Amino acid sequence: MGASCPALADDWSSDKALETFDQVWEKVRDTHFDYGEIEQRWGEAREELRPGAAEAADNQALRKLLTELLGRVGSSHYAIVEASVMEHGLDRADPPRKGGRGPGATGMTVRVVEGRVRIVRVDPDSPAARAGLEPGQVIRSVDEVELDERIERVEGMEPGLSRRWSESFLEAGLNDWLGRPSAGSTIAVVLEEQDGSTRDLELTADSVDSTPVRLGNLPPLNFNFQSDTLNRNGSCVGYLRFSTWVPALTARVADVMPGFGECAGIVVDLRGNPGGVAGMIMPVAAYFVDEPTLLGTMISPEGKLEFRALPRRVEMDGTRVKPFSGPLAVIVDGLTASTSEMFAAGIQATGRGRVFGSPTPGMALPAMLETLPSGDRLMYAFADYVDPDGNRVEGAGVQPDEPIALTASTLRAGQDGPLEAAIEWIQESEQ
Amino acid sequence: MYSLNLKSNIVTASVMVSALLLSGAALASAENGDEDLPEARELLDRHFEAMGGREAVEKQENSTMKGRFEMPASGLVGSIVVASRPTNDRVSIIELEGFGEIRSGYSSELAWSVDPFTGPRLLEGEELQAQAEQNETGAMLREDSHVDSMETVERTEMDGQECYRVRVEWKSGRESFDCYATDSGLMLAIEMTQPSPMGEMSSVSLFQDYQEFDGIQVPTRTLIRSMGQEQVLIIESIDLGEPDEALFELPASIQALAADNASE
Repeated sequence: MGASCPALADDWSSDKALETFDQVWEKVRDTHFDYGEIEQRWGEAREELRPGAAEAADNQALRKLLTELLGRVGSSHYAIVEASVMEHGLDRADPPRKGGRGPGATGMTVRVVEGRVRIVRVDPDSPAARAGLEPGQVIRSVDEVELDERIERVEGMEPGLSRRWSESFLEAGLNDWLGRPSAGSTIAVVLEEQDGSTRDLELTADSVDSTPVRLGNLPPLNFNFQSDTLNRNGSCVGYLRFSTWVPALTARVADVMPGFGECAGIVVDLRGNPGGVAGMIMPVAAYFVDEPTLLGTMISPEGKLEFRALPRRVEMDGTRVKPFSGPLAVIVDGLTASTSEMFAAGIQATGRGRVFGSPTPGMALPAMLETLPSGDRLMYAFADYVDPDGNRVEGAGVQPDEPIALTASTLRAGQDGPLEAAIEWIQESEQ
Repeated sequence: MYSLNLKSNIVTASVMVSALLLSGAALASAENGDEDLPEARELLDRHFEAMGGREAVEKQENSTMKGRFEMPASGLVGSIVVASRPTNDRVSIIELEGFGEIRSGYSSELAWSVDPFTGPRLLEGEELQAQAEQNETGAMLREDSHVDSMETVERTEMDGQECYRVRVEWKSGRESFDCYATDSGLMLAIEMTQPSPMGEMSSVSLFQDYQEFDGIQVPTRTLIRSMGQEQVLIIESIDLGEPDEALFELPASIQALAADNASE
């Protein structure tokens, strides 16, 4: 080791760094669903970046290099996941906080609307609701971090895929930070009032009723499920919203579907849903189809796997059920990703339902996680995915049948545009 | 027929888990030159002899095997129970951590499965036919009642071991391949493609680590490769007495579907 090299962390070595780099590079080479398309640039990336791995002073430096390497693939679902994420799940990415124990929530959901971070949803009886927060309000800073600056940086990028993904990651990160801090921890928020004045407040997160889920190599997930019956103009509309696609979801859907039997329609709200276990789109769609229905196809070098929903006729206890045949509305937005996009794309392409909201990011590749010598995990795609018409979802995303952009004025008026449009369509379909 | 039982409906059931994950697969290149290949029936007889004799194999109709189910690349682990009893009753139960139960069964005329992705269902048509060809004793013995023809097609290598590859043409028109070790004569692998709700599923099952139980050689490790995904079944115990009756009780959901089918 030359004198000019940076000091290495205690348990770090250039051998380990190179071993990690090589494992990442080879895994992509061996599993990419269309390697011929990336072969040349992937080989060049190895030549260019591998020397840097040998010089990485610690895992953080290596992680940065590997992130750059995986960026050369040019598809979603290629990433390095920090080892700590695997142990602590959602707690991991949180900035240092006072307090904190287990999954928590402030009850607010935010999006970037008209260039500002705005509250788009406040859950009833949540810390955000008790603090008087309302949809449409602007969050100027959180824990002394100015949010407008962050948005400006992203919006200053060249238009294109990188900018779109950066916007998605920014919104996802903000929602983790503002909406889902650890239970008992506090965040300091500066709110901008409509007249431009500011209000400082501290929000302490409630603990949330969520089910911790461990699925093999995936990071720990907190599964939340919400259902409601919305009564409008004398008719009811079933409403489903959940945090992620996990096997426990099927039983929750099964529990609530009988209560929706007399409803005019059902809304599946996938806004902010980042995905989960891809195969779960089949048992959920099974409650909405009356004949075997192809939702999409996973294509890998080893073959094809058709994601086909079979109509649900019987529950586990032997109770007979009938799939719901009324209108089905799916609401999506820029944070509806992966498995959620596969579901929305399938429902839309088959004509079984109608999609409302804003376009999804097009991050829809089936992926896996593998442990690296560095302790981090490599997330890599192993297949492509197309909708029932053969159209790729990756990159293209799902374009809503009824695009509805959020605006500051509708939010301030307390309107949830996409939900209202979905309900209106259901009621029109009923007539 | 333990070695063959292991490949039965477990493959169909576990392939459903493939909806989630990864890749792999490997069949080495063939190499047989001008060598005279042994007759397929000869290889089959040699396999039974190596297992402990056809008679001994045939008389062991009861068994309960317990072990582990693993999907190493995805970190998924679970337990597995596979039970058999006369005549042609089979059931497999995989309890997969985080996913729940994947249960499937076969008895003459009825094949069924309950899994987290496709729910409870009765297998019909081609799927039912394929299950019969994997679970009926006569099919496992490759008897003429189920098999149209068998032909040794090449000497090849499977995961580093030499074997004779035999094409099996089934009465249904389906085709599969057995591979018998050139040295021990034991069956090393089965390759097959079978229908499923998710399309045709190709798989390779590799039978490894044969051990003797009550005079019969049984593979205690089975590696299944399908859609690039690798699954490992490890048998930890085998009970050759009559299996627990409760294992064969149809799940309530399957009973309901079967009753509906009967009344149609």
